[in-house]
Amino acid sequence: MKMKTIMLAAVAAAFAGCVETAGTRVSIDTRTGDASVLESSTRLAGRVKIVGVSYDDVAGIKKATVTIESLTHKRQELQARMVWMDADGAEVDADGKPFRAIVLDGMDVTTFTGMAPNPRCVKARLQLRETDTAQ
Amino acid sequence: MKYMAIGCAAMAAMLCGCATTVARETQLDRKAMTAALEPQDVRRTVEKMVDSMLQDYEYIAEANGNRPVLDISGIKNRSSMHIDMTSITDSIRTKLLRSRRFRFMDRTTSADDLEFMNDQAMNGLTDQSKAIQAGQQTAAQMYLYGALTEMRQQVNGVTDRYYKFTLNLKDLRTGELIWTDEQEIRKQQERSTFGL
Repeated sequence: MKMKTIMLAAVAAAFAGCVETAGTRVSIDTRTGDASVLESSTRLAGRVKIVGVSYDDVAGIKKATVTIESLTHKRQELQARMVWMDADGAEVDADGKPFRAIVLDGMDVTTFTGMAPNPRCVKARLQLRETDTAQ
Repeated sequence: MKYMAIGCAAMAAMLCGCATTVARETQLDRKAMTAALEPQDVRRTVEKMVDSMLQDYEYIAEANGNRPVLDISGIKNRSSMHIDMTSITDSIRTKLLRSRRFRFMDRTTSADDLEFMNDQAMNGLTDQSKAIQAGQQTAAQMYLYGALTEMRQQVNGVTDRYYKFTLNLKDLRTGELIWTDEQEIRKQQERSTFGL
């Protein structure tokens, strides 16, 4: 009976699509300088760490840079994108900001830079996920 | 035992093809499915080029004034794939225009412009003080051009493809290259050990 329950649970999980799609999010507000990291995936939280956030202004267009550090000795295939928002928090041209591939070697550090699509954008959100979750 | 038999029958029915075709919307950026250039590669290339131009904007504007006027020359496809290069340059132009840092000329609609102007001048319905006269359009100061190239090799069932997309911005007056950048994409596809 116990075996049957386990088998049914496994089959149900396989059909229901149990891939965790949560990742790490970094919110940046260029007006206040606030930056917060939300680690929604316990798996990813143990593998990468956000070690720095900075932003700049290029002729009126905001630029944000996030530094990502690997916490494992294995190579990781990740994807990240930076979505920008106006002062009211409305996303601006979110579809136009694709996930970019990041190949992070063991214990290595890399940076991810995003440019705002236009001068109205003042807030940014970095979304970081494992490539395997991008089905 | 009876429940087990019903369960097995249901499973068999599901696996044996009684399912109908189901279409669904999917995300724009998926993980790589093949070694060919895929939509997400094109989207990343467009973003890379636009971000790069915006980061160098001060230098570009210094050469040609505030909000320089650009045009797009053809981008050559030197790869073995059929790719709509105009679609890529359209996306680049859209994002650059929406950044409010550049202006664009569009030579592809020049014939339509003339037709409208002729119509306004000749149809007898348009107030001639408001009709647009020919010879007043601005001129492109710079133009974008580039190429997509490809290298491929196949070793022991592994297909390796390398794509390079290069984009240049040339000053029409001085002939100088004001800005250039390239996006490299390398993809690999292995043939499965099992299966046909």
